[in-house]
Amino acid sequence: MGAPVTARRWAWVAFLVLVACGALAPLLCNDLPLVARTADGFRFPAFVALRGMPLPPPDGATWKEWWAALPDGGPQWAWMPPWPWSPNEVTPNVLAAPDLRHPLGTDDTGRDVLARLVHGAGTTLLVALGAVGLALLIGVPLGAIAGYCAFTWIDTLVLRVVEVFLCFPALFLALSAVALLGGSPLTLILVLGVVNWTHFTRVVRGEFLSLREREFVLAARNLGVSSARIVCRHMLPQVKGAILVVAAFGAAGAMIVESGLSFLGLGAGLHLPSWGSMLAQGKEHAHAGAWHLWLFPTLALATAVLSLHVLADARPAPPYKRCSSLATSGGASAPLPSGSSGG
Amino acid sequence: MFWLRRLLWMIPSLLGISLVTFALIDLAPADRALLELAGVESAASAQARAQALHDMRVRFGQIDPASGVEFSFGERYARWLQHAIRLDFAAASDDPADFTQRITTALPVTLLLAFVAVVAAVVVSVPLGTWLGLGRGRRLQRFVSTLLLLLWSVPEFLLGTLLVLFLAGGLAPALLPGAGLRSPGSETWALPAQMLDLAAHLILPVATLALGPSVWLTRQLRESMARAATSDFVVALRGFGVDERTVRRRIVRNGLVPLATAVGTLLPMLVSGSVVVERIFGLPGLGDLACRAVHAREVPMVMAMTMLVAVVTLIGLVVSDLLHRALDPRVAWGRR
Repeated sequence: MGAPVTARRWAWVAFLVLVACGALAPLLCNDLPLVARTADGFRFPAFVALRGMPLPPPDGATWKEWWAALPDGGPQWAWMPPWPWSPNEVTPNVLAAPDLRHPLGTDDTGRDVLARLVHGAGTTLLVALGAVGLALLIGVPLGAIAGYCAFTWIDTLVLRVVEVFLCFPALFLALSAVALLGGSPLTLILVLGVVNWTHFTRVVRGEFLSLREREFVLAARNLGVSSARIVCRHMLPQVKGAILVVAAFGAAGAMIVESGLSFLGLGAGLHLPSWGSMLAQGKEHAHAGAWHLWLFPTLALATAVLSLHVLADARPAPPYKRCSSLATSGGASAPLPSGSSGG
Repeated sequence: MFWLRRLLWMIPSLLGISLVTFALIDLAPADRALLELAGVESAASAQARAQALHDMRVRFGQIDPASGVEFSFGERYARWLQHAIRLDFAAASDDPADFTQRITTALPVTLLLAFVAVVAAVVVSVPLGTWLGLGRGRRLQRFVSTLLLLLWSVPEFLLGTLLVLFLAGGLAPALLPGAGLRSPGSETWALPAQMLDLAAHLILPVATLALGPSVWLTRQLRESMARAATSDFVVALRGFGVDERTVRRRIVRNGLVPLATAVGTLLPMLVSGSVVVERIFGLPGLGDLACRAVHAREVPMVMAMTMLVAVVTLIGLVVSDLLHRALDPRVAWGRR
């Protein structure tokens, strides 16, 4: 059922690496020192830059020049991030092929591709997880209420609203929101959250329809447990797995829309590095021999989306699907339900 | 009269769509009138500018023309809806005829693309899904299932870029045309040659657009075939001693029924995909128009298209619902 265990393990590794890169990008790839010992005491430019512009170094134009000019063994020193390049740092060697200085090459304004990839992971992840979180907050309660009060007017109302939101294609609504609100991660999170919540509602409602007929719900109700408690403590924990599957697929979908918009030049903002805009750049310069510009964003995006899809697919089959041997035991063609996909 | 009820239920859904679209325009922090005026030359005096702003607000139905008082949200929505029902989204545009014409010239391109992509997806996924749902070659099946998961992780813009790079002359010699809908100068060719030319231009865009839907349909069909194969009627047929070929045919016929609904739910996916595909392959469709409108900050055009797409999708959903109901009498409407 689903993806094999090794694939699941690798998917977890890829996803966690992505999360780590995205969350720590400003501290992993930056041209500012994490800790700098200057003539007037300790300074933490990389951390200060998280909240605003850091103060310039004591002498020299930038922190990096100051760092490069430091004498060995002097009283002043700096601890640079593991990869001392910032995603927006322009250098004179344009479209350089991968070498020791830039392992993934540079782009058409001489920016380091590795630093841009790592920072792009942050943008993509912020949008994907934010959108899924928002969708979860809207979708799960509505689905639970609709499923618990199935076939009443509340259920009908929720289903109608779901149908309305189902009609808006994600990329189109995102396009119009970008036109109205301007491209920013917040805009994308809001739009994708508003588009994606219907999936949670439909899945939770569907699961609740069969759960509400089960004995443990009946027992709880006969014991006088309140409806809110039955829903929250007895029924919702049962659909945790299904919710996680929808969340993984939703995060992958949000990633695709975010990079698609950036590819069209309408994404999270021009100053933010994104895999989509990197790929668009790579397509533009592909005939100039800059293969690294399209290959590495492609690999990053494919790995991220694939790892989420594998995680979603790796869900163990629900118990009621496993006892389907009634028809297969006698027949010659022994058809088995193959895999458990979460559509 | 389930179909009548279903059609009547479309009215609240349509109102809902219009409300969402309007709320998006109206509640956006950006002032539409100011946004619209930003494109106009601001050489005029402050008084003329204020007058222009006033006129623009009246045209958008934001303020009362007589008193200059701002309308409430409900009133603004009602005014906007009056125009929208008459398909008059061009309240802000200078040339309404041009506005409508741009949409009507772009629509057939997207429809052609989406239609061919749906046909391609169905042609690919029906045999593949049936084989995966019923077949016995388990190792090969598992391999194909993994391959499907892999293919599903490829976004349209990624596939499109790679196809352009390797098949349409980006990096390797061009095997297929990768831009536009027809070759330059093809207007003078004979009709069969023109059709062939169009078909050749459609191959790469359709392949890009149809990949996601084909994989999704295959996975849906695999599930529904497996479900049909384990339902009670199969046990009954086998119990009656019906031969295996007939049983198999019954399973396939039952397993194909959800295809109707599945194709309906594909529509939003296709429309989203067509935006990207049209941009990559330079096709003058709705997606291309939308992108241009967004770049030009042409809000009425974007909103008109968002609403158009949503309404078309709703119609598609309803038709597929009705089709499903007609094909499968076990589905009682409203109880699913």
